[in-house]
Amino acid sequence: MVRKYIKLTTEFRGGANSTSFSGRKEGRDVRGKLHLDEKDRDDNEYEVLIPKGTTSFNPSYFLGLFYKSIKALGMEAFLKKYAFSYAELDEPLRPIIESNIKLGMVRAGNELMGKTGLDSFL
Amino acid sequence: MMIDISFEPLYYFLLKSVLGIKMDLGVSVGDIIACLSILFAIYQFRRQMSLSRKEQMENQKETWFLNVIVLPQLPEIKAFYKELLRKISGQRRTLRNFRGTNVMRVERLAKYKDANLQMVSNFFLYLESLIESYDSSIANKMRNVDYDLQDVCSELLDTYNDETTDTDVALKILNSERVIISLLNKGLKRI
Repeated sequence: MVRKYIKLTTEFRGGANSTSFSGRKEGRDVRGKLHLDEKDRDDNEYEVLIPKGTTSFNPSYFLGLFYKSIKALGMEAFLKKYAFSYAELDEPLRPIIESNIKLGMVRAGNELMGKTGLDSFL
Repeated sequence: MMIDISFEPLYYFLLKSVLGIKMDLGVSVGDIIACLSILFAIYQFRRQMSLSRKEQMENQKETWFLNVIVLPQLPEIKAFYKELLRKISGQRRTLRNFRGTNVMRVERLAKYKDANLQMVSNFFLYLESLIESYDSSIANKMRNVDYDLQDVCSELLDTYNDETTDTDVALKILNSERVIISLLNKGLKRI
């Protein structure tokens, strides 16, 4: 098993001057660019690097980017395979973005527990 | 067969009577029509009963949706959007007039965004779970409004420095409120 990195860049954020990762469509598009479908099936583990200057990581983007993986792998296996790194962020922003990611996971968990609203647009 | 002599006249009388019975098995068109009319009447009666039972159940469902979800939630929804509008307008002003370092300003921005995400998410999770028990397709649409509003809140704070976007705040937030009210109305109309 190899540990690899997925670098989310500032271009993946919505809008030219935006410091937010937001939007389902944007998340889905980046999922395609990062070939996450193939990554879900391999044996590697990944560390997702959140870029410096990020001020929010919205659940819409998180779900667009990772809901398919969570659905395919299950939450436990997803968390084992994909870890989030906040190291590039300024120290005070780390717990805030971590809180955003946790909210995204809570929303994904709700969807997995029988609410299939996301399936209609993912 | 041995028959008691005293019963012999009665026996022959009964035998003659039974053999003498002639059954008229001919069925007229009138009989068929009468029969079909009765069957149709029974069918209509049962159908009417079933329809009125269904109508009664739908009325109960509509009353429940109106009394349990729509009416008690309307003031909550109004208050939620009013508070969100007040908060975001205030946050934009605070960020614009912020006197600290850039790092501190960015931290403040991120904190505001996180607080707004939590506020919107908590409100909608409650509302969506209520609606889910009534109609999951409306709840799904509501979930989309939820995510869109979270994004709008972040976007409105990203543009805090641009005073020309101040009018967008009320416009975009109240548009979300309009969509929610219209979804609840649709819920009433579809039943």
